[in-house]
Amino acid sequence: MKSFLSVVGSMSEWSGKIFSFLVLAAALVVTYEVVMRYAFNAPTVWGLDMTIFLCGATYVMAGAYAHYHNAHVRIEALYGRWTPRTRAIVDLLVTAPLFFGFCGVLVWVGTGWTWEAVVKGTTYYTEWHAPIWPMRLLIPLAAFLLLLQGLAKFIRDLATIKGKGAV
Amino acid sequence: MSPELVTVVMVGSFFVLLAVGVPLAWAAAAVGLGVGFILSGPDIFPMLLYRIWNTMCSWSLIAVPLFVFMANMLQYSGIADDLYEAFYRWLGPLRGGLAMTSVGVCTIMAAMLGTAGAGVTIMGLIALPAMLKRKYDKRLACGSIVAGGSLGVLIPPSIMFIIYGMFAGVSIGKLFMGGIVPGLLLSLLYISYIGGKCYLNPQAGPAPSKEERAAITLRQKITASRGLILPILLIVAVLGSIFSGIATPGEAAGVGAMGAMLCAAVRRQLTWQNLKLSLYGTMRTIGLVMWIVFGGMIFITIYTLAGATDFVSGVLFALPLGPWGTLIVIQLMLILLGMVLETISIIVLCVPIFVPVITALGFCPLWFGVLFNINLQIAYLSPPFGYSLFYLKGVAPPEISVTDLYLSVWPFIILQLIGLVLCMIFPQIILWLPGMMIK
Repeated sequence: MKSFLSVVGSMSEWSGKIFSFLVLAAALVVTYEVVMRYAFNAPTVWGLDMTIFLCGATYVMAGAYAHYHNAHVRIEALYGRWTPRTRAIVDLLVTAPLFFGFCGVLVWVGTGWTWEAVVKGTTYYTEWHAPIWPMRLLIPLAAFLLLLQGLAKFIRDLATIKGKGAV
Repeated sequence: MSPELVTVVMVGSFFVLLAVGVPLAWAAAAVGLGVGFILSGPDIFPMLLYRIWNTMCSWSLIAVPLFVFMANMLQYSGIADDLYEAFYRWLGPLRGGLAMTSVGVCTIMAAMLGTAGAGVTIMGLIALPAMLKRKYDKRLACGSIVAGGSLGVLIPPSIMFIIYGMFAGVSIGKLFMGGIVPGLLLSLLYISYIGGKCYLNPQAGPAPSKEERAAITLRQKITASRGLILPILLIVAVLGSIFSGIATPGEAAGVGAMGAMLCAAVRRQLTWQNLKLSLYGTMRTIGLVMWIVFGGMIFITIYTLAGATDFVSGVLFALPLGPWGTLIVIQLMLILLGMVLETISIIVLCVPIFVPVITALGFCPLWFGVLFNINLQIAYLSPPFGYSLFYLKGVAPPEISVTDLYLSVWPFIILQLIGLVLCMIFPQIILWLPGMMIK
């Protein structure tokens, strides 16, 4: 069980770290595009779309990373005062079902939607005509990583409730 | 379900879930999905997914990760220390000089960072210990930092304006320009208040002794002023290119991020470690902001589909208060919401409801966007949940109690209200600069 938790943890951690470099890439592409447009009057066909893809990919993929680092905002007025055990019970009974429902829908509907784009060979509507499925695939993938992260949290909460302390 | 029932069910369950500590993003998304499923069955899901997809492909939103990256890189560049030094050399000898320095540094930093937390945290670490050492009134010291830091949301670049512009269909560049004059106005009000208070009551912010003052030479002042060069160049490049219409906010953000890396390089802080940490920090902020946007969008889409948005605007139109009365009621609601909810979620949830009402009442949505932002400024300082208070509590020395913090903000909240009223009576304070833009 411990190894499952650590594998899930490092998946969130590493996917987040790797995808964070897309922001750097986006900054480079934007700057290149601006320089080409104003200094050489030769805007690229792909610069704009590329920037949007690079940034868009980080939006979804950052979800699991933020979850792993406990960065998703919650109101602490009551929650912050509870004992770890009470928190675990509430997380288990209230947050977990909602969370699994949401991520489950994203994985389920997102996979079908991605497959549709693969079969039909849909391309992005702009001049560049990049295939659309890799971007679409990121939605179910990101939701799947979140789901695993939620499962890890679920297991930890169970252990806390049983009084085994932090896993 | 009738719109009234939908409102009770959705808003009620949302707040109950938040109260028991469900993270905002999941609470909004789950309530939206759940009610959507009850109303229309699973056929509703692809449509909600499509909203997420549209967000991923948004041309305006690229400014968010790029500005966040720029801000993180600047924090690691240590530029704030130089700024503090420059302001301190000039203002330090005055009564209340350190508190004025905090507001001044926060104002300049606000033009480089897009959120409130960064300014408060940095000044809490640099300026607060210095003020306490010089026996400043604790409340004045804390108040100047939380009020100054909150300007980060109003003075562009601002994540708040990007999201507002996207959801209200208002030019983000114009919103940025609209925030500048009110931001400087508030900053000036804060500095005048601190100066006035310390002039009348030197105990509140004692000046250094004569020897200490004599020790600062003009030469040192001028040398320290060099610390202003890099930040001002960067600000002029980023905001100037938006103002002149050369670049969109997204492009300015990308080039600004490169500029921030350059600043770090000049200060010999562009290490692999600092670059990595800036990017990782950016990723955490993107995760929390964007998933709140996703969740909020799912919620408000279902709420609108159920006809409840029209129901709320109908209620607002029926208020027997006239346009100005209704505007004030809406602003009070925003301030109250701002005291409990996170900024981004308020924009995503409230803009689709309030902006059509405001427009129908004959007000300008650009002007309202800036008022909205000032409302959030007030909420940021308001006890007991004001975000700025938490940021400062996180870094303040233990001698600062929560009570000190709660009591420190009142004069500044009054100043913010004065600024808000001025912006309402004289809309030109907001609209003048955007009107000067080339496009």
